[in-house]
Amino acid sequence: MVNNALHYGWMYTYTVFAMLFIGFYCIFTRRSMIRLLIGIEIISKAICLFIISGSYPTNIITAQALVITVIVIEVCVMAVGLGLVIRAYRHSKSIDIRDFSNLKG
Amino acid sequence: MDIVLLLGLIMCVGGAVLIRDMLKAAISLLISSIILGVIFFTLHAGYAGVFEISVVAGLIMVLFIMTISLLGENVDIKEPAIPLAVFIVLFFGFSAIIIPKILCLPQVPDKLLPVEPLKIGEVLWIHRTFDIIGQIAAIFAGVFVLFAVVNGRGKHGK
Repeated sequence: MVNNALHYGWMYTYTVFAMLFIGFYCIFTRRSMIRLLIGIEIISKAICLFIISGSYPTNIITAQALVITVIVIEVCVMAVGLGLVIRAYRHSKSIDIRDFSNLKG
Repeated sequence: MDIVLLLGLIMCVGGAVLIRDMLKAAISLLISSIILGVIFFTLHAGYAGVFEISVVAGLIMVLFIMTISLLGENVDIKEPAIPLAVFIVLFFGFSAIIIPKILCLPQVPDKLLPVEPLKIGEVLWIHRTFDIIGQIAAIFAGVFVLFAVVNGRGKHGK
């Protein structure tokens, strides 16, 4: 038996939770669309750190492959999100998320 | 050393959320990406660290800063004053309940671990082939959506 991966670094676990809360705080309280994307980015960083710190004692290289996949998908999400921000700005000259409530079904 | 890096990471991430100037917030996020890449290196995850620094700290930050520059002064929005203390109390309460349970998860048996450490190429190309296909599909989807969103002129396009 090897040590549980998470026994190695409780401080990493606390950091991951702190980053998750900061990301959710950003998403729930901010109105700027760019801030929302920053919140998503922070949550994604927290997940990557959780995967890598969890795999450290066992040194499983699959975790790195998973993180690389997460990063590639994150890039696509950010590119599409920022494209949407620019399109929304052209539409209504604002990036305030409240200004788009009239687009509801 | 680890604690310093982790504290720096949390401070930079918090700065990215709390700093009012959007450009400075993006730079704070950039610094947090670099710190996260260094943390990956200290955890012997070199490939993930290289990807984090080159792709996230490089490419995504270029996209962020380009968007902020395109939007100019209209990027700043007056945000509501929601107390941060509520989220801090929630964090400490949640972490006091959840994290001890996570740390008490059952141990990983040896037989589930690979006998010989694999190389990243073997893992990606042989064991995780569908991840590669998914990544390629995601990249193509992102490119096509970007073309449609940024340059597309729909039925009601101007």
